[in-house]
Amino acid sequence: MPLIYLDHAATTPLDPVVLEGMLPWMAADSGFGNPASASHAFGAEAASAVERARRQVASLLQAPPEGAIFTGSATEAINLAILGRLRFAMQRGRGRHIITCATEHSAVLAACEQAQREGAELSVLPVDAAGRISLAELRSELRDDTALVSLMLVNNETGVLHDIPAVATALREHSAMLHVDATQAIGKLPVQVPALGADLLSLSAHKFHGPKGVGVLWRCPRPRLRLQPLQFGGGQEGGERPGTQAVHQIVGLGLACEQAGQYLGSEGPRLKALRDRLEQGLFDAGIPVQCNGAGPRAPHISNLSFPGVHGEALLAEVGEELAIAAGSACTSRSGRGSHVLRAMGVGDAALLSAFRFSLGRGSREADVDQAVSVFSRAVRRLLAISPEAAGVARRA
Amino acid sequence: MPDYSAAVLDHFRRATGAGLLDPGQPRFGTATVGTVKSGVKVVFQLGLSADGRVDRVGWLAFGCPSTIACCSWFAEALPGCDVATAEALLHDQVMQALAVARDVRARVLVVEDAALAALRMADQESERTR
Ligand SMILES: Cc1ncc(COP(=O)(O)O)c(C=O)c1O
Repeated sequence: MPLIYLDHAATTPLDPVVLEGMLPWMAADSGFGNPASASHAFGAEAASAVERARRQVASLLQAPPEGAIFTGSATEAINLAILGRLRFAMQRGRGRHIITCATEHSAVLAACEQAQREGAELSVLPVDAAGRISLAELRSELRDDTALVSLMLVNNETGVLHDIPAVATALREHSAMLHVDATQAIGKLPVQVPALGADLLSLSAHKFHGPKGVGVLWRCPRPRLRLQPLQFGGGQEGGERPGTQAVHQIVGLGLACEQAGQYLGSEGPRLKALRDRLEQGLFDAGIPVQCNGAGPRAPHISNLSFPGVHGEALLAEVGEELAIAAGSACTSRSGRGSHVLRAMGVGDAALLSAFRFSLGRGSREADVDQAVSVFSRAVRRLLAISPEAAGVARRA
Repeated sequence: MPDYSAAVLDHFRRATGAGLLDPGQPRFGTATVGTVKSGVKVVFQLGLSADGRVDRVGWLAFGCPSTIACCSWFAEALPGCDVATAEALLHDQVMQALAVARDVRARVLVVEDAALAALRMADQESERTR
């Protein structure tokens, strides 16, 4: 039986249209030009491909194209947003305080901690059991020297949304910039800079059927939001991300944005229906299931725990049929379980049995039904041998 | 998925002896060791025959595949052993028999502790009834 892929929040397969569009930029006899080589046609065609991709990104985000800085990943975009902005602000006496949230991706948390080591001050907002921050708490953390607020649009483990437009409204009278990590939102929800009110926004192509190794930091170009570059070299990307652009990757990113825009209207509702079918199927199976993150969510992620069984044992049971992310302590890098679920106050039994189901363009009803059947069978078997299950079997 | 030895996977799937014993039987021992928070919790039970040999084993386990496999291996290896042989077996054979990965050995020790405590309880019970 082929492995069913339910880990689209980790990465997505490349869209064939995107692959086809990228191939001419990896050929031996053409498409190899350096976009900075303005003196000949090879360079000019590469430069124009990069600019076309910039417009494709901008069109999806409904934002000016000159705001898009191509990077090597969302992690790099996030680092440039946080460290680039904080270093600039601290140098110019424009604040040294960052506000973020306990459930952010490690790229955000680690970049904030690095800024802290460099002299910034950090406030990390807690979340409630549903995974949401309180706007009142955000307001109370705002200080005159707050330079940046960094919050994700969609949580990568639970799918829970932060109300970014409301955050932007709360910041309207304040000089702090708003960075939005939109990595998990592109292609699943409308991500429009004007509606969000973001000053900076990060994304990564491989999360929406584009290639790995390319991302974007969009930053407000008018008035130009200033960043301190993290690398030094040529003047590419306005000098803010120097280094020869990876034309084939950037072309792929642009096409993936175009495809995401085309699919958005139908994919959002389709993924939500599939996710609801998955959750309902598991709830109806009569096994203990806990949904982690009850707040408004993106349509493609469901974080579920199966209290009474250990996540590692469950993964060993389902892993031959389903490619899925387990969030239990033993499989997480920290060894202490997901920092996101811990911040939400999820208890030990649920923490150790948490799985992230994430759906994508290739997911079908049959995949979801198979996942329900594989999980129900596995959970039942493990509960039958668990001291944590109510009403355990007794042998003679 | 983490790498498990073939023996761990085999015992994890077979789960020989899973379930609880009837506590009303004579020469019965039971022990619960570990916590959900620590990632391993094991209930281990066994009974001794009138001539002092393990004649029944039961267990329940919350834990990783190696934990469950270890319970199953004990359930196959212990029956027929007298107390001294059972103690020796509990002490040093399971890690090798199952080729347990080094980083999960602490969890296997929890199963050993539970089995040993159940064995001692059953042994004391049997002394009392002798
Ligand atoms: C919310 C979020 N932010 C950032 C990242 C980092 O993305 P990249 O793999 O492009 O560095 C991820 C990917 O896991 C993510 O889910």
